[in-house]
Amino acid sequence: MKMENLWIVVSKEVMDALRDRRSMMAGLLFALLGPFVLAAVLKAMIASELDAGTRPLHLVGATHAPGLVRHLEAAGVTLQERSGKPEDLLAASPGTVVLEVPGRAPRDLAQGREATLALWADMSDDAARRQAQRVQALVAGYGAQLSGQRLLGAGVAPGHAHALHLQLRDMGGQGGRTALVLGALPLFWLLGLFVGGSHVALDATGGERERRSLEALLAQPVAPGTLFIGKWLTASLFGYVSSAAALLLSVVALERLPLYEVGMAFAPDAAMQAQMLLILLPLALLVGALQCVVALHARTHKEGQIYLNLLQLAPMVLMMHELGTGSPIAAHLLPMFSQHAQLGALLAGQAVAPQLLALSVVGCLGAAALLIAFGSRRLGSERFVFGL
Amino acid sequence: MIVVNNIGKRLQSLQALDAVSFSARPGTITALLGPNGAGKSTCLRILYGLLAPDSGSVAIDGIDVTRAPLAARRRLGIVTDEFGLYERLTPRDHLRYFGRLHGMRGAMLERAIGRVVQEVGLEAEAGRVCKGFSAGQRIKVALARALLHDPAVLVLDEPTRGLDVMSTRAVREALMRARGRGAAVLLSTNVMQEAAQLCDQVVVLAAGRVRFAGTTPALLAQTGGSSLEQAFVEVIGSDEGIAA
Repeated sequence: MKMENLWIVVSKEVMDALRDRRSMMAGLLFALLGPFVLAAVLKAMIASELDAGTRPLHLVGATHAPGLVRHLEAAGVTLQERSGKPEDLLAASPGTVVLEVPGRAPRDLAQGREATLALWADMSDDAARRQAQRVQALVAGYGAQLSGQRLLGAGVAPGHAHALHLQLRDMGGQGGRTALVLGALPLFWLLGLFVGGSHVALDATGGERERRSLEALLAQPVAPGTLFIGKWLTASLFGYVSSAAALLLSVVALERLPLYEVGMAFAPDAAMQAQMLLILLPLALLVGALQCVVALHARTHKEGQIYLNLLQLAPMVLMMHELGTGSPIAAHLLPMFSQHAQLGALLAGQAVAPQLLALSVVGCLGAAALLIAFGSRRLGSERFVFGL
Repeated sequence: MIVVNNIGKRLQSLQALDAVSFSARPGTITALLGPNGAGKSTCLRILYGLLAPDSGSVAIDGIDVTRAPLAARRRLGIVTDEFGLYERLTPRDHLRYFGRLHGMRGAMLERAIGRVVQEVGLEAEAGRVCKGFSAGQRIKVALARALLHDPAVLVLDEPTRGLDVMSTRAVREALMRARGRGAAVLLSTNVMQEAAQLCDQVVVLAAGRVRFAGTTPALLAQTGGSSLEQAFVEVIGSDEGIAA
C-alpha cells in the first residue's frame, strides 16, 4: 500500500466531511452539549445539597419542648420559632418544613405517655423531603434518648429495649464519591466516539454506493484496501475529535463548579487529560472501523443511518454491566468495557496499571485490524460491489 | 491498444460473456454495440479490472489487467456506467483528487486540469460544488476526469445516454480529439447514429458473444444492409435495444 495514496484519500475525505456542515455541527453539538448539561445537573445538585444544610426549620410551639430545641440546635439545625397554624405557614411559603409541638406534649411526657409531634412538609418537593427526612431522624434520636431515660428511671437498662442497632458506616472516601457522581462523564466521551464519526463513515462508504460513485472510484489505480483504510482513518479521526472535545470541555465546565463544597474533587491535570485521551485513541480506531464496515453494507443513506444509530446504543451496555475490581485481568481485552473502567479509575484518583492499558490497546487494535481486513476484502469483491 | 482475448464470464446462472475477442487500436474509436443485457457493461468492467474473467485475458497496452490491474488502470481513462459525483466537491476538486490518484502533482496537475476543463466546456462550473448539476454537466465532469492524465486508452460505458444534443455533441468532440491525440477509444452504445458517425470500427455483442467485429463498411457489406441499423438487426437477429 502506498502511503502517499492513503494520504490523498484521507485528505479528500476530510475535505468532503468538513464541507458537510450540518452533519458536522450535529456531531460537535453533542460534544459541546453533553459536558455542559452534566455540569448544569451537578451545579443544581450542589446548590440543593448546600441549601438542605442551611434551610431553617420552622418550629411551632418551641416553648413546649426546650429539650428538643437544644437537641436540634446541637445537631446544626437552624430553627425559626413561629406561631400560627402550620398549614398557613406552608401556604405562605411553599417548600418550608414545619415541626409542630402541641401544647399538651410536656404533660404527656411528664406522665410517661407518648407525645405526638407533627412534621409538615410537601414531600413532592425534593429539598423539603430531604430536610424532613433529616428532621425525622433527629427527632427519632431524641425520642430514643428520652425512652432510655424512662427505662433507667424504671430500673431497666436501655439496651434491653433495643435488640438490634443498625449503624451505617460510609466507606466511600472523597475520591470514591467523586467517581460515583462523575461516573457519567466517561459515557459521554465514549458516546462522542460514536456520534462524531458516524456521518463520515456513512458518507464515505454506503454513501459511495448510493450516489453511484463507487465504481468510478474503484476503477482508479488505487487498491481497495487503501481506499477503505483512508475512509476508516477519516471516520476514526472525526469520532476521536468529537470525543476529545467532550473530554476537554468537561474539564472546562466542571473546573468552575464548587465541587469542594460537597466534598468532591475533579481537577485532572494536563498529564491525566493526556492519559485519558490516550486511553480513548485505540477505541476511536475500532469504532471507526466498525462504523465503516456496517455502513458499507447499507444500500441507502437511510438504511445506514438506522444501523449506525443502533450502534450508538452500544455504550448503554455499560450501564447494565461494567468491569469491577473483581473482574479477571483478561477482561480488559474487551473494548469499551476496559476503557470505561480505566477512565473511571483515573477519575477516582487511582492509577491504571500499564499491563491493563496494554491489554485494552491489544483488544481494540486486534478487533479493528480484523474489521479493516474484512472491509477491504468486501471493497475488492466483485460479488459485493456489483451485488452479484 | 486494447486486446480482448477469448474472455468468458458467468454471472450466477447466466453466461454473460462467451469467448469474446476483439481489439481496439491506437488512434481509433471502437463502438461496442449490443442490445440491453448483451454483456457490454460486463465486458467493460473486465477491461478496467473490476470483474475478473473466468477464462481468457485482457491486455491494456500489453499489460494483463488480471495480473496487474493498477498498472493497467494507470493507462486507462474510464467513464463508468454510473458516474456519481461528490456533491460537496467542485469539478476542480474532483479533478485534483483523481489526478493525484493517477500520480499527478503540482503545476503539471493544475495545467492538466485547466486543459480538460476547457476541452469539455466546464469553465463556468469548475468552481461550483456539483450539487444540482444537470446530467450534461455531470458527464462533462466524468469525461474531464477520464481525460485528465491523457490516457493511452479511453473506455466509456454509454457516455451519451440521456444527454441533450449540445452535451452529446461536446462528448463526441472530446472523443474525436482523444482519437486525434492517438488514444484507443472504446465506447459502448445503443445509438446507431453515434456509432455510424463517430466510430472507425464496431464490435457487435449479443447474448454474450461477438457477432461482428470490423469496420462499419465491412459490416454493411457482410449483411447487405443499407443502413447500420439494418445491418445491426441482421447481425443480432432481432431489433431489440436499438436507438436511432
